[in-house]
Amino acid sequence: MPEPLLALRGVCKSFGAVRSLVDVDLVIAPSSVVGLIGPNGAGKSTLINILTGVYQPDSGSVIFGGKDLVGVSTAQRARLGLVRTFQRPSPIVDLSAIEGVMVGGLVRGLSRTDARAEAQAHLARLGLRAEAERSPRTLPTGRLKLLDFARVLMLRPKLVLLDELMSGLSGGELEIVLDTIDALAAEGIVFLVVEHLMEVIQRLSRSLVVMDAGSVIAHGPPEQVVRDRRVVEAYLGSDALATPC
Amino acid sequence: MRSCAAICAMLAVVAAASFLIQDSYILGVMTVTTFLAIWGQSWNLLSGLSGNVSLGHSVFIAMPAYVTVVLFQTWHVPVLAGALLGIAAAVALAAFIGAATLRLSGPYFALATLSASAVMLSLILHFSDITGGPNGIPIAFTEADWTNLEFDHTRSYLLVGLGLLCVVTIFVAGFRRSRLGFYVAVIKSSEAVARAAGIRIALVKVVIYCMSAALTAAGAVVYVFYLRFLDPGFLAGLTLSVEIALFAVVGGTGFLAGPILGAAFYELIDVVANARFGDVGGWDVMVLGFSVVVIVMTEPRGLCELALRLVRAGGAPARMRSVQREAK
Repeated sequence: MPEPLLALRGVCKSFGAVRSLVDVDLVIAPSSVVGLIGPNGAGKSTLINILTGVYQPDSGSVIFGGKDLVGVSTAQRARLGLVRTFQRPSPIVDLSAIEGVMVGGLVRGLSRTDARAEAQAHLARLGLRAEAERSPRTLPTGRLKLLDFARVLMLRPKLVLLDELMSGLSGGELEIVLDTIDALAAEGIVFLVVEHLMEVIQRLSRSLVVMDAGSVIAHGPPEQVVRDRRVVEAYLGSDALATPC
Repeated sequence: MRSCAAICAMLAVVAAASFLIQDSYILGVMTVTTFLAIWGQSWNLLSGLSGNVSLGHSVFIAMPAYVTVVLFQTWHVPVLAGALLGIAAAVALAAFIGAATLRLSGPYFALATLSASAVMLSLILHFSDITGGPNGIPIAFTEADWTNLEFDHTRSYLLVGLGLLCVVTIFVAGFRRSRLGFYVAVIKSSEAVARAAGIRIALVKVVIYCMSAALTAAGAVVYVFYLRFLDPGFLAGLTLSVEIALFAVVGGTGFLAGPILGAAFYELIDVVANARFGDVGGWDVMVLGFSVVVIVMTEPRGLCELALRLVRAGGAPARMRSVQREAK
């Protein structure tokens, strides 16, 4: 087995008496699309915030690309290739659509001309060519989310955390994003996809991680995981298996 | 870039028009307005563009003013060299305050800068053997000599001020299109998004704070030689800090012309209110405050947005008429 891209060992995080993450172990291979699901409050957002350095774990380690991430800032992690999108669209209102995307390239050290050319390519790929020069103030939610996606791709990421990127997209936009993820995954970019849309998760993911009450309760091929007893209990309650319907 | 060229052209027109004006009071009002606009424009580079509101920008006026004048009068350091040292001192102060406070955001940063300006005033009053304390320092006029920033005509200060305002405006316009300007726009939208995009926000914020301080200081060192008097209550006072913030807010923080228009509007109302109600204590300030409230309530994005709206509203009927004509 190749060295994992990301490895969490025994990660715990509490907020006062609330234990958001309890002894989380998670290993992500260098080539995969991983779905992350779980009921509300399962700890998915806390996990993303631990991975991106918004929170420091109380205990345990996070190793990314062989490097221990303790004390590494969010910005440095992004430069190392660990990037995320946000649940809510995050437009840069004072810049045009393409300029907001270029930022990811400028951070990498590209000149403005090169960053613009590369941003143009990403916009074209995501079907945003016509909106390039528009102000994000005038664009609907779906388009804004695509712009956020384009901005993180400009960082040349190794691991992309997509936090409900696909909820709120139109059918056409969703198809484009799914195809793009497939293509980029084939190029070796790893995606960790948090999503409530089960059909999206099942179509994309080669493996599925299920969290409940701060722990990883299942991790494996999707078809196997969705039949896992603990997963069904977490979603439907423990009565669901006892009384067949 | 087009608006930058238009603003510089307008300032050139003002400079040319000043030669037709002989009234020294009007020239004085124009000069004051110009320097207030320089400070408004410099403030906007930090606060308008990044969203970190500073309510203590007068420290970057008092610091270089005192450094320049004290060096000149006590150690006979040439004024231009002293002015550069004064600007450097303001930048150093900004780096210090910035490193300490820019991790704060929103109202906390505003309050921290506010206290910085209060500390500055206390220091000036405390070290009275250097600063003259509450009495300030008069600057004696010896002879007209540009190397000492001493001119015998108000118009010369106005022209230097307009030139400086042009430079600051061009700088801000260039900044907005620069790499750093893009980062600042992201920081203004959301610091969390900026961090996630790999932007080192603490560093960016300190750098723009220093830039803003340097531009503010450049205006200050010329202005004190126009005033010929270092008045601690004015230079390090809370009033000036708040006024500077108001210019950009009233004019429109999102516009290159915003702080200039805001300063002109503010000074105009101030002069009119002072002339009309100045003899009744406090009335002029009330009129001024009320006008600002009306502007901000009518159009929170400032006078520039209001002007654009009027143009659009004026343009719409014209377009309608042309459409009707075509229909016929």
